[in-house]
Amino acid sequence: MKQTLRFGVMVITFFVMVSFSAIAQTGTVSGKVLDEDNGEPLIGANVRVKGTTKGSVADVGGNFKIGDVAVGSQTIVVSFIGFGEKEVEVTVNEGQNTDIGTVQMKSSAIGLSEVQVIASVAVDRKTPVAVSTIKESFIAEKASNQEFPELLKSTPGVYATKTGGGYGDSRINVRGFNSVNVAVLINGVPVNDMENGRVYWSNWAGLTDVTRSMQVQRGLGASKVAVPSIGGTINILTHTTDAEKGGYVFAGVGNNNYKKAAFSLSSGLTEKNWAVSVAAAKITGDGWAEGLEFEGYNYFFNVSKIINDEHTLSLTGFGAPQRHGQRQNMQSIETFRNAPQGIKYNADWGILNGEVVHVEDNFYHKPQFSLNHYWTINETSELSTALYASYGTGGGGGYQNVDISIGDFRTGNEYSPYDLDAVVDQNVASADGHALSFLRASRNDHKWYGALSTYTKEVNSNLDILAGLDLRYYKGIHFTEVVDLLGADYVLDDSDANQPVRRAGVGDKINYYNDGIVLWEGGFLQAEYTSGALTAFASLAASNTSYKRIDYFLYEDDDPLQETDFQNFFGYQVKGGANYNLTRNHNVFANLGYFEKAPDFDAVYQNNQNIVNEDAENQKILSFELGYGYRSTQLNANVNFYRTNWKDRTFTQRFPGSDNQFFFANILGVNALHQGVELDFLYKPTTNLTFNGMLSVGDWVWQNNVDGVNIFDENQDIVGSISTLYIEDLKVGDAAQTTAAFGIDYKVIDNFKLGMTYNYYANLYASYDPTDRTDETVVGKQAWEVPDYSLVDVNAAVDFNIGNLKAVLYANVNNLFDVEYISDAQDGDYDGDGIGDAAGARVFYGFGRTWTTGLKIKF
Amino acid sequence: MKKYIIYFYTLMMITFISCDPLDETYEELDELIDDPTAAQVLEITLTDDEYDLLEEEGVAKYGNFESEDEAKTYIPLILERAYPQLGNGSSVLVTYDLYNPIRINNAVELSLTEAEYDSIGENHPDKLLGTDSTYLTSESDIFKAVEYVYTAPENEDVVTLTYDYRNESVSEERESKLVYYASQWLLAYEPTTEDYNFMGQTYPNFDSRSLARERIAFLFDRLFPFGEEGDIRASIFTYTYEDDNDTPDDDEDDFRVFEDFLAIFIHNGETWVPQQDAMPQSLQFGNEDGVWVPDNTIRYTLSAPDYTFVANNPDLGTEASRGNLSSFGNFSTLSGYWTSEDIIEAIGAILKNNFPNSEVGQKYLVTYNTYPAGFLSVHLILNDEGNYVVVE
Repeated sequence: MKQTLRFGVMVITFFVMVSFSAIAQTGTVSGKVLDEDNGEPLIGANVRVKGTTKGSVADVGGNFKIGDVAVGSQTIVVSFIGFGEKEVEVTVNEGQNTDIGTVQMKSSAIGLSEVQVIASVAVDRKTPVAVSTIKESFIAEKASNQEFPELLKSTPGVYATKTGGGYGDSRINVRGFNSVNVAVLINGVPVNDMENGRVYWSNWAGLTDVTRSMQVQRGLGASKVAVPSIGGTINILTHTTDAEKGGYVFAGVGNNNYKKAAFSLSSGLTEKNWAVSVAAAKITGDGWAEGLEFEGYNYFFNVSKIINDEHTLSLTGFGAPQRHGQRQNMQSIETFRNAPQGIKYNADWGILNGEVVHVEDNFYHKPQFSLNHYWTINETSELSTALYASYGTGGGGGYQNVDISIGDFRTGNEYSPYDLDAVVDQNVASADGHALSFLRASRNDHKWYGALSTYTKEVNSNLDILAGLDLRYYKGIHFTEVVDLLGADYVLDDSDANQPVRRAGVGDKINYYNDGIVLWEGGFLQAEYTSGALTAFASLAASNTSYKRIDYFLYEDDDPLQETDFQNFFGYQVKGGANYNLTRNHNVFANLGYFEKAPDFDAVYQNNQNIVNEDAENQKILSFELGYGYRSTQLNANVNFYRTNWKDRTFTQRFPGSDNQFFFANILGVNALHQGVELDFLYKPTTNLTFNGMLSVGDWVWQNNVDGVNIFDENQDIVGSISTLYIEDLKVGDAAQTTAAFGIDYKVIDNFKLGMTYNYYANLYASYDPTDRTDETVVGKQAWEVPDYSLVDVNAAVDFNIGNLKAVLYANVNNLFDVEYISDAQDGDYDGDGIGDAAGARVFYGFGRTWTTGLKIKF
Repeated sequence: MKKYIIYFYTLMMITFISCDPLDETYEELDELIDDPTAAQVLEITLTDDEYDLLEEEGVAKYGNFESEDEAKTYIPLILERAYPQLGNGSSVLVTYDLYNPIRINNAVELSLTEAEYDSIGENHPDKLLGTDSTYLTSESDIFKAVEYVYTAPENEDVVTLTYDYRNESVSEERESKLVYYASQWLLAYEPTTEDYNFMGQTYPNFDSRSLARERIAFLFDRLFPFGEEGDIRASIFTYTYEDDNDTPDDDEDDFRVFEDFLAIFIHNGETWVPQQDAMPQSLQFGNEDGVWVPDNTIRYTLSAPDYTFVANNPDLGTEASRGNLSSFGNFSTLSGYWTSEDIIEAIGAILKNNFPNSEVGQKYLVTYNTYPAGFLSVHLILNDEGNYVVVE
């Protein structure tokens, strides 16, 4: 008994001592992991104590905490895919928490941070703008067959559709503004058309593969250079070159014969400080609707050389050549309902010799090359310069009727394809050999050279000064070319003043041939102030835009009118904003900007003639935004209010007329007011479960009636005019004013993820038809409101190993419930009461259920 | 907490997904727009099968209608039963048999008195010469005479007129049979014995009315070969038949009846066509929201000459709008060009020009090309002021 007691005492003593020593000899370590370039938390970053198995992962706020860390000197290793590793030395005191503060992780991609400066990527809780960012992992898991615009569909203020459904034909509106007023920058290089401001997403179809991040800055945005960011700025960053060696191969299939093969390869940084990355892909398919067969490629390369500590050179090139059938013409709802093909009906393709001919098609290739030089001048100053060149060739195909209408020839009933063999028969019988109807393409080629340079100077610990230059030369080359004579001997063309009677063959220019030359000299100066919780910036950018028009057809070669002088327009923008971090959790921001933007090319040379519109006014935009952000360990949320007032806006409204032809109304001097509230959040109750969502409520209206609106056809001829266009108080259409999204991502087990996204769209009005609004009686009447709709997408990703290689299997289903909905509508009045209605509207239906699956093997 | 969010989420999903966004729109459209396949344009000729559809009503037992009104009343029933699948906008041109036998209505025999000759011949040349005109000298005199002596004729009345006729100083008493038909007097042709022989009859009569009509038509083609479309001629022939009321076996021949019988012939541009007891007639019916109604609408699409006609007519539209029409060959509805009223007025002018003989109440469904809306249609009716107005 005595022995037993003694033994017991010893055991207890031992345990007490052991436990004492355990308590006495450990502490905790906490901290925060952020992306150095944009201040965003690196959610899921791995944090461990070197030499042990103890570790943790960063939460929504980037925060982590590791318990039971032995006292004394320890090394904390932070790692994250694409960011490499970072070690932090820490001394752990017994029973205490040691906060190592913020660990700034730098992307292992060479030149990424410098590109982000050129591109003005917004930094969380610092840059005072409303922003949403889509990351590479999101693209890999959710993109499926979606294009750039659609990747942003679950962010506030965005409305993206596939329009007719052709490959690359998707479009995006931000805060109700169409692509003309949404600046798109790829690696900081602007890609909006220099003449009309439009963004042709088909130029970039497939480039999602090499996209590192896509950030939409709504409203004025953070861009330093003057860009048409009235609706917002979309900043796409491609890969640069990863310092880590490796690559992947990918193969995928999907609905309607969708096939995709891709690879990517990175040399890693060699001993001699060179790094090379290449990636390419081929994508083909038949398209979801009829007559949308497509073939697309994309390629990307980057060669980087770290010359020394001061200088890095980086050459990037990418492009995405494609050719695809289009569904250009909207149809009435009844037409789709009556068509045997249902909502897959497409009126715009034909059959010739048993083969599909895409009468309406699109083909384009715009390779873009950029040579970037990053120069760390000294500890406080840097200079980042990008010289770029881009060459666009391509256009859109269509038909031209001379004596017969191609629409009269169909292989069967009215829903069948064009019978081009029958058209050939007609053309063959043409007495003098001229084409009665033929296929043509409207070409819009261009050459674009530019330089962007940003100098950053850290004046003191509080103040940074940025200054830069933005120089551009752009030449747009516009003409119609004969594509297929359809059995005729020639096209009789009388549009060239130098040769008034011409027999044009395949490849010859007809109808019109003119160049638009745009010069741009811009500069900016920005001051950024940081003091504790406050960051503020003020920015001034000014630019001179010069337009010259050369018309080879309308004027004879010896006519001095053939080439205009440069017309100069001075534009500027002033903006400023501040962010204040109230606490660790709360921040507020505000921004305010005013800018004057040169009128578009078409507003200066209004009637597609070399006659300068002396009344062309700068467009004037005043915008402000207020925002609030909340960050905590489980919840991130943002809410903001915006108001953008736009005066003397130039706006081209495209609308269909009879016989499947399009017309354009050139509307000058219209005012618009866009205001609204945007909310988004990310909630991560556990490490395996993430919810995200957004709500966006807009109120967008046209403010005034416009006098004297000319209507043009596709051949740039005036076909009519509207004395007064009555659009005052008309709601801005073409984009859902209310959108909401809700998403859930769940990591079922470590290597199996499931995701679901729900999107809701409401207050979507049809684009008004200018010719329906020529009478005072329509004042106060709205265009047809498209029925609200909601869609659900699901995705899954499984990680596994094939031998030593890591592999991921992706599967996506979009529009899971095969909801039939209308995504795009053009107003029309069926019953003649002056109000657009469902029966009068012409529409595009969105896609039904689609799916893709693909396997990526990494090495 | 997590559970509640998932429940909430699931509930929200179900709420939103279960409603199909376009259901209401489709219902609205179904009410507003007719399925184009329900609107058919067809021409039919009623057969016995179709007349039999009226068995319940007890009409058209003999495969014809007794009046146009009867046809208008009952053909809609036939259409409703024979073509239940057709809907609003359909139009059917129905050819039916109208039983309208041609029979002598009232036969009178009249002779002219001296006084009557005087009155008829008021402007007669002889009268002007101071002599009494106690005879007729031409066919027109005969018509004048019958108009004078028989002032209130009814359709298919036959007047046997006895009169003196002078032909080149030879005066004789004559007898003519005059038929009042389709609001005019016709001099009936009475076949001669030779004619009957020519027509294959041993005796100067016919015992079959249908054979008589057929052969007299043939005779007329020889006698009056230069008839024009729409010309009407009458014939009165002798029809013989056995009297059913006679005793058949009394061996007497007196049961056989001989009587005058009237036949009417209308020239179709090529030949004389006898009018049968039941003649085909056509009526158009339109389907208005599921109900068949008599409708005389003629469908017409404007052609290039019509646009030219308007473009060259200074009373229509404005100078600018005519110029635009002349250039583009369609009605531009953009501001400053064609208003709806202008277009209707222009189409009215086209119809008056193209169809000058349209009667009041005639309707046209006119399809015309516009810019930018494309082809549109308007339903017009000729009102009693002679103007085309939109059918209400």
